[in-house]
Order: sequence, then structure tokens, then C-alpha cells
Amino acid sequence: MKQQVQSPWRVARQKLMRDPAAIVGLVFVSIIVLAGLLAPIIAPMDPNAQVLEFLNQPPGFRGEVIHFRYQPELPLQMVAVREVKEFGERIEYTDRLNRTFTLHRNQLIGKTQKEWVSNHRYWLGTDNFGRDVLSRLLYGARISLMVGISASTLSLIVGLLLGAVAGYYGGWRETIIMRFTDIMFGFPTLLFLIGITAAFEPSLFVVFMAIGFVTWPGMARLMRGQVMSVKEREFVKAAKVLGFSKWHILWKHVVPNCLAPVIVAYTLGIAGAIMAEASLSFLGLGAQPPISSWGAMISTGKDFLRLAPWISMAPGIAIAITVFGFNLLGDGLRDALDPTMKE
Amino acid sequence: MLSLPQKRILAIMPLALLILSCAPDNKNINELTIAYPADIRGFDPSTATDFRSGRTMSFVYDNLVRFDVGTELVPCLANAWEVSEDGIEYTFHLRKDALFFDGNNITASDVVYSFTRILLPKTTSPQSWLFDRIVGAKDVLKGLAKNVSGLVIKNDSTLVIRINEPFAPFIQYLAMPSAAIVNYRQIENIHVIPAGSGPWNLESWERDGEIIFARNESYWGKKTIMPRLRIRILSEPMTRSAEFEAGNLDMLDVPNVEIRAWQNHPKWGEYFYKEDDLSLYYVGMNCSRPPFNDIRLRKAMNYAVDREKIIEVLRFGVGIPASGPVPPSLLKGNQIDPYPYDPEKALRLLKEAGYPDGLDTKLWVAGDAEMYHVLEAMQSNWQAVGIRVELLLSDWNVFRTAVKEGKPELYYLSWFADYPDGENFLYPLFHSKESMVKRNRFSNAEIDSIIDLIQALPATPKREELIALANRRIFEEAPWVFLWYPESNVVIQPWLKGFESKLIFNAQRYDGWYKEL
Repeated sequence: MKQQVQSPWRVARQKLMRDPAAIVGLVFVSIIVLAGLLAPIIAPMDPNAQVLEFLNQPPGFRGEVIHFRYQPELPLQMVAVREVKEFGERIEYTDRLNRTFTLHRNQLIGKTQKEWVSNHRYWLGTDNFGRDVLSRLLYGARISLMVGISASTLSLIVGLLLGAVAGYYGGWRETIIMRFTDIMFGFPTLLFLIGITAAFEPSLFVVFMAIGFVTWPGMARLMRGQVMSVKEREFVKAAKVLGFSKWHILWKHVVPNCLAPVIVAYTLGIAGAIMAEASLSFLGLGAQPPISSWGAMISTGKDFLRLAPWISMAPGIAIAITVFGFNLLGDGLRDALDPTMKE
Repeated sequence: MLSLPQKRILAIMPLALLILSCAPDNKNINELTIAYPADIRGFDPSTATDFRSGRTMSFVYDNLVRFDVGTELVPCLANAWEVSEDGIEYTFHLRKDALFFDGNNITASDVVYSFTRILLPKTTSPQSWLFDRIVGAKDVLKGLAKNVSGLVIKNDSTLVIRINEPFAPFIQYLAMPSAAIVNYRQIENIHVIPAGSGPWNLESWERDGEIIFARNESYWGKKTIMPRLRIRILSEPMTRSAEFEAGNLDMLDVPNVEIRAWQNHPKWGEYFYKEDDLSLYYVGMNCSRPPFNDIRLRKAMNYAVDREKIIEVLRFGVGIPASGPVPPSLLKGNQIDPYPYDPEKALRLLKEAGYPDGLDTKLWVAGDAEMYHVLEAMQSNWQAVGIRVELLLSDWNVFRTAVKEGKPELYYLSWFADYPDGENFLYPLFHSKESMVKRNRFSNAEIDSIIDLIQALPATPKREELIALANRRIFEEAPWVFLWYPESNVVIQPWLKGFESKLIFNAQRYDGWYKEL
């Protein structure tokens, strides 16, 4: 019988697909990724449009708002109304404080009164500014994923490069790199993160740079260990005998064979980075208002925990699901990519 | 919406452990327990610039004069006083029975010592401005003299103070925390052990934990009814509310978010009180450089903010829209209308000022979540007309230095009265001598001259009119986005009797309060 030769990646994929926990993780992660990608399409409302009158309303709340812009290029306005009257081109609306304002027809969004004034359902309730929690949650997924992925990628690139060089070349290069990693490990992570972000003007860019900066040493250490064990293997010796350059051997033969655990660490790193972003934003050092980030949402919601627990609960659950998803996926990947694990 | 008992359970569940582990003796009839959101700086009046420290000074120190319930000054260590016709000489007659905690009599020389101490450079008191109008004070401030020539001791119980020129608010300065009379014999540890004579004496102070005061049994004046006063430092509003509900606090400063729940509650509504804060919130605009040197832009900023809705919705109805810097309780019926919410007008003004596409600017802010909260709503208000304001949250010290250096184009801040006089909302904030070096770089010769006049005049109807005029002129010049005059809300336990609000922050000594279980 002819033995079919399968590539290790294909084997891994098949293993992954047979692992129910990994599938659940993959589903969770896909949901979050899709939510983030499609946020502008599926979000029922502008995540930043405030309807102050509707603040802290519970999930399922319905409310009637008028939509307009003062000028075409200016942001969308949403106001809770009691009454709307049409006088030809002029529209008068009365707000909840019984004040009457006049708008011109061309300032309104939509063609008919049915479109200007609509009855919204807030599936996950409203936050402390009367913004739609669901829409903010969806847009928040983008921030969390963006920070999670970019910070982990940064950590991956730096850690992989330095770890590979240290592990493969050894000698003074290894000493310098690994001592520096040890120093980095000496700092308490969150405190160090707070320190870095506090030193700069708060922004998302600073956040992901800081998270990347703080997490690369783990990646470097992992990579170095892998490289050290792989470089003693026969195929590397064979490559040396064939006269390939060190650089070529490192990147073409050694590194690709070290990737399995690195991919796992990367996946778990995303979960960690999402948590770190949430912590920083919770402390006011991450995403700045009005950007909706899950951490920032929990942070603002904590002041309303007694009155409107859903403001914090929704992003809290979202973070939990995302991190759980990435962890399950990471675990599944570990099992799938480890050739010594047999079914 | 959840009912209060349900909310109580929600709130208490996560806190249950915390509360159980640190609950004091519940409903102790001999002890009045209140909460501060943060600790005080210490018991040295020379450093008491913040609200909490200032308030606490009045428990353990006496001043020559003090404020009572409202704006009126009452005798304290000074039984009586006279002001000369020209308004520059004050004669104080001290009471003879007043004792320091260590049993020594308080005499005129103690007053001179206390005032000189604030001025001496080595004290480095930020409050030296209180006394720099006294004759010879400037020399002491500069280190050229050790004694203030304008402080003259006639005998142990008579003191004369001469000031450089007539300055009506001077007598009110003497009621401020830093004008407390200190005991030079105990000056060494004054930071941690009060060297005073007040109705309460310190029993123990655990930093960031609690401060306990005991009744001063040898107090010369009105003794407190309660034997002890316990101030607990609880930084989280939720913890404070939960502790109050559990009966472990006798009074609660209600956080704005929870106002409606308490006010409309069948049980607590009855014990709910509003207090005038004598303060206002504002956004300062740098008037000396673009873009906000243009009055049209400053007005646009004012017209674009929907104060009414923010107060009604985000501040839960707490506060009055501000029309000028001077709070209504100090304006004696000369009210004007605040800037109405008129985004279309703001848009027109922006266009006129040459910003048809709007503008980008940054607003500096330092402070707590409640302050930050309303800013996001204002940010949205401004953005609606094209003023894109980035919020810059910074540390309090960084913020204060930046404001002093005139760095921010916009900054969000509040002002609390030091003493109940409209002048306190004019000179320190808008006189070019102050504003151009410390604040938002506002300078207007006409307004300066009105304020100068107010300072020289004693309390007369003419002075009231000038205060109203200055208020109106400043309102028209719009150097600030005038936001609101806030109010405080407190709820007390049913067993607390003798409760009384005071207008000025350091007038409250809890001396008439008691408990009846």
C-alpha cells in the first residue's frame, strides 16, 4: 500500500479540527474578529452619538430620537424628542426639557419624518451618556483586537529576532541579550506598563508599543530555548556540512522548526495584550474618550455599578469571551503542533 | 430600574468582606462618624490650602473671627473689633478666658506670632497672600525683617493691625484656615499634632485610615455635644454609600449619580438636604493668544454648551447654570441670564471669527471621574458645531503648573469661595494682576478698575452694585465658559439630631450635632 506523506502543518490542522475545545475557541475568536471587522455595518448606531436623556437605560430600552447634522461635515446629532412639527422647510422639535429648537429640512438625516425620527431599541442598554452599549461594544472589539494583535506582533518580531540570534550564535551576543531580558523580567509588568504609558501623552499607539515592549522578553526566552535544541539536530548539521551560511541556516532551517511553540505563545499573547489594554484603559492611560475601548467602558461603568451594571458587564463579558477564546485556541494549537502528542 | 434594596444588595455583595472586616462599633451613640474621600495634609494651618484640610483646621484651632451659618462674621477669639474711619486700622479685643490645649492663655502675642509665621519665608506658606497687605508684611516676606510693623500689641488682650490701604475683605481673611492662632510652644510637631485651642482635640490619626477627635473639655466657647468625632477616609463613593446604608456613617455626601435614588427614596428622602457650595465650575480660555483671544470664539464656546441638559441629566439636576462668575447667593438679586444653548449662533460666530471648518484644540483636566464625566458631554456639544476638543487628562501638579504658566488653551476647573464675598470671585480670577500671571491671561482695564473700587469700599449697596456690574461685564467678555454653580447633597441618619448646614466650608464644627437612638 502506498503510504501517504502528509506535511506537519496539515497534520496539525486535522488535529486542531478534531479538538472540540479548540473549535469553541476558534468560534469565539471568529465571532469577535467578525464583530470588529463588520462593526460599521452591523452596529445599530453611531457609537459616539450621545442621547443624554437616555442615559443608563437597561437592556431592551426603546426611545424615540431625531437625527440631524448642523452642517453636512459635522457629526451626527441625536436628540430625544417629545414632539416634532413641520412647517414647510422648517422643522420644530421639542426636547425632553420642553425646549423648542428649529432645524432646516436639509439638516435632517433622511427624507421623511419616519426617517428623521426613529424609535430605537437598545439591545444592551445605554451607557452613562445615553450611547448604545451594543454599538460601542462592537467598535470596542476593533480596539481590543487591534491592540492585541499589534502588541503581540511587535513582541513576536522583537522576541523572535533577539531570541533566535541569542540561541544560535551564543557567546557575547547571547550574554548581552539574555541579561537584558533578565533585567526586563525583573520589573513588575503592570507597574512597568503604567510607568511607560504615564510618561507619554495617553494614546492607543503608546499602549500597544508599551505592551509590546514589556512582553517581548518572554518570547525571546522561548525562542532561544527552541533554537538551542533545534540547532543540535541532524538536519542542521547536514546543512552546515553542505556549506550554507550561518544566517541562511538560522532563518531557513532552524527558525521554521521552532515556530510551533512560538505560534502558541503568540496566540496566548494576544489574550494577554487585550487584558493589558483593558487594564490601562481602565486606569485612564489607554484609549481616550470618546473612543470606545472595552477597558475604558468598564472604567466609566464602575461609577454606575449600583445604577446601571450593564455598562461594565457587557464589555467585561466580551473581554472574558475573547480571552477565553484565544486561550482555548492557543491550547488547541499547542496540542496540535506538538508532534510528540499522539492521539 | 432596580429598587434601592436590590441595589443595596448588589453594592454590598462585593463589599461584604471588606465591610465585615473593618466595621467600627455600629451606631455608637457617643461618636459622630463621617467620611472624607481622601486624607488631610496635616494640622499645620500654613499648608491648609485644600478644602478638607481647611475644614479640619476649624475643629482644632480658633481664629480671631469666624463665619457662622451664612455670610455673617461672628466673634471668636476676638470679643469685639473696631475699624478706623479710613479703613486701614483694625483694633481687636481678645477674650481673656481662651486657652490652648496645653492650658496656656491665648494672648495678642500669640496672634502676632501666628500671622508672622505665615509670612516668614522659612514657613513657605502658599497662603502668605492673606497677610501681605499688612504694613511691613512685604519686608518679612522678602526676608528683610523678622517682625511685621503693622501688627501692634497694645496689651495682652488688645491688638492693632494696620494695612496699607483700605481693603474691605481683610476681616474675612482672618476667618480663613491659615489665619488660625497657633501655640508656639507646640510648634515642632504641628504637622501631626494640632497646636491649637478648638472645640475638638486630636485623639489619633491613622494616615489614609481614620482621624479621631475627642471633645475639648476645657474649651472656652460652645462645647460639642458629642464626646467623639471619627472621620473615616473612604476613597470610593460606592463604599461610602454602602457604609452609610449599613449605619456605619452618620452622614453621607451623596454622589451625584445616586442623588435621585436617595432623594426619592421613601425612607431616606426625608433625611436628604441640599447645601449651597458657594462655588462654580468653568472652562478657562486663554484670552491672550489665538484662537481664544477672539471674543467671538469665546462666545461660540459658551453658546455651544447645553448646560441645562447636562445639569438635568448628567448632574441629576444638581446645580444652577452659571451666569457670570459670582454665585447667586452673593449677588443680592442682580441676576442675569446664562448663555442660552444656541448651536446655530455658535456656528455663525465661528464663521465670523474665520473658522468655517471649525478648529482643533485641547482641554486640560485634572481631577476625579465625576469632573471628567461631564466633559465628554461638552466635548460632544462642541464637536457638534465643529470645535474638536481633545481632552488631556493630567496629574494635578502638572495641571496646576501648566495653568500657571498659561500653557493650556482650555482648562476645566472649579473655584470655591474662601470667604463669602463676591470680591472673592472677581479679584483672584479676573483682575489682570492675577489672571495674567496665574490664570487664563485675561486683562481688561475697565474691569480691573471696577474690582479695585470694590476692594476699597466697605459693605454698602454701592459695593453690591459694583459687584453686579463686574459680574455682568465679565460675563459679556466671556473669558470662561461659565458652567454651573454646584450644590452638595447630604443624607443623614434618622438618629442624627441638631444637623445644620453651613455656607462656608470651615464654619462647620459639628458642635450642635448629637445622636438619639
